[in-house]
Amino acid sequence: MPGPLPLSPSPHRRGVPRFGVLCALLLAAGGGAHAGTLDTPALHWNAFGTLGAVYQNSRGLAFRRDLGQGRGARAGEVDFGTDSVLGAQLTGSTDFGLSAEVQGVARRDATGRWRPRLSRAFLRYEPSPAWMLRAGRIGLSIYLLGDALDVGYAYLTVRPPPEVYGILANAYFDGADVTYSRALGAALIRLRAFSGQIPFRFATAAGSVIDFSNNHMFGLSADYLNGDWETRLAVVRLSQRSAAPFTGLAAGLEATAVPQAALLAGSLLRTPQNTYAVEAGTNYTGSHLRATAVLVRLDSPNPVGPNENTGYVLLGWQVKDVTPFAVFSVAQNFGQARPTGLPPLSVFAPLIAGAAQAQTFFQTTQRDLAFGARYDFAPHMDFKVQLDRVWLAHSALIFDANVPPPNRDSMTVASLAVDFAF
Amino acid sequence: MRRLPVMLLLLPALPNALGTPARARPAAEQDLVVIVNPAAHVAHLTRSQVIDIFMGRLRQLPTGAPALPIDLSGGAARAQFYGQLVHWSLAQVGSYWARLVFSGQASPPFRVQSAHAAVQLVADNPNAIAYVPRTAISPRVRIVLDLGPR
Repeated sequence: MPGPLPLSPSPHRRGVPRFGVLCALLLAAGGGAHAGTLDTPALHWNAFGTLGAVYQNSRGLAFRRDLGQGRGARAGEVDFGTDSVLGAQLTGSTDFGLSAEVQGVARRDATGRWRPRLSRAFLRYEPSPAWMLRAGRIGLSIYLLGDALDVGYAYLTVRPPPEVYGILANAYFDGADVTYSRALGAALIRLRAFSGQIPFRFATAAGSVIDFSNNHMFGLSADYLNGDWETRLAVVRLSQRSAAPFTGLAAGLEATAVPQAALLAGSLLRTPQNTYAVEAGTNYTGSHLRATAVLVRLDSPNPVGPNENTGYVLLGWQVKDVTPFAVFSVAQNFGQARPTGLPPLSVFAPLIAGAAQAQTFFQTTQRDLAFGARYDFAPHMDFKVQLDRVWLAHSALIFDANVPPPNRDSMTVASLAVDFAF
Repeated sequence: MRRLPVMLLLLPALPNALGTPARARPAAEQDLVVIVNPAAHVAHLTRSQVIDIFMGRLRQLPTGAPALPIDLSGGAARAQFYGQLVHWSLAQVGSYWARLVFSGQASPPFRVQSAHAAVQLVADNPNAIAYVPRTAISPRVRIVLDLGPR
């Protein structure tokens, strides 16, 4: 008689013989994939990827999908690095509720290079169907539908709206979370608490990389799932525990002995610097209609920010294997840059410029209206086309470090993508 | 990066994991029922309870025991089941599971090749739950939800 069923997926989930360096490393570590059987622990593979091409023709601007990318799509070039990504995942599970997961992802990083990184590595324990505990490197579940940002096959558009998700240089954190699920009539409530450190590395408009990894994050989220509806409320506090990225600038400002400059320096050096995020989102997936609305407010008292209200609305309509969609997204900065009080003398120019750059690092005020379509043309694969019209007043996302800031306030971005997941 | 286009072209040949072909359509209507083991002591499940179990939301039987859903690999029955249960195409189901699998939140249901195998597993395991055509059931399993023909 067969033993108890393992919590494992299809016996068809066999390994892919060769899938780049990531998979080779995982294969070496895991020894290959095994079909899930009825009485043995399962070890299985999954993989996902996107081959994306982006083209835009606004000189002096470069299009990035998030602040973690060191370069973007420049004018007149077809860029394959903005949206392309390759990921592989190894999952091992036992019959007593304990499982482990390792995921590697290769995509363009803060230095502008395309290389692998560890995006998940955690142990998961499910003592009962209602409870799940995870510890290790875990996906961020702050934003509705934002917990698989690298997996293009999981969403409708070519990329998650950068105005909302672009702040997430990484979609993972190192720490632990606990999830509790409970039926409530015909609906389901899911509560989650998570805490840890986000290894943030941001690329600046000046072409440098700022490491904000010395932080502590704590958050709570509540999901309400009812039929075709999924709604999430989430609050997060991110405490930056080091002012290291700004110590040089602060020292220079203090050395001027100008009171306003010294005040600004003190604000830059104050730790911890807390940022609060509040998110509300709802998603509907029907037989034809797809609709999503997300609102996020990022609020930080420190001079660097971020201080933004962001959100998007997405509508899609599936006709057989094709789903045309429209999405409107917006980011509105409400932070005010604090003056240095320094006179406009050449000797102070670097400090004034540095203070301005630091205080606009997270600032994004832009809108994006996009139209496109997703075509599920084969098992586990889709093809997407998308046309974005972007208007920007100031954007930390869209820049070209090699070209002086342009006198342009809009751009058109054309994108193609092929996604897969298996 | 240079190998990516080549690999993408080869992918359709890979085995199915997150969903059956996007174009799969039920060839003929079947009378589908959801079954459990009589030892599970479950007389009836609501549609929302079956959704919670098969969509990885809450894999728990009303008794509090873990539920282990069994899915059929491909075929018309699978497309019909998800069409009736959540009104989604198999492409939508695959996209849904991609999000859950790669965010580490849940695994898809265990997959078997035939309705006969699903019935056998349910008959042998008090936690198992499956959907099969009514014509495939045996006296060793209990119907807890009748989905009927589409």
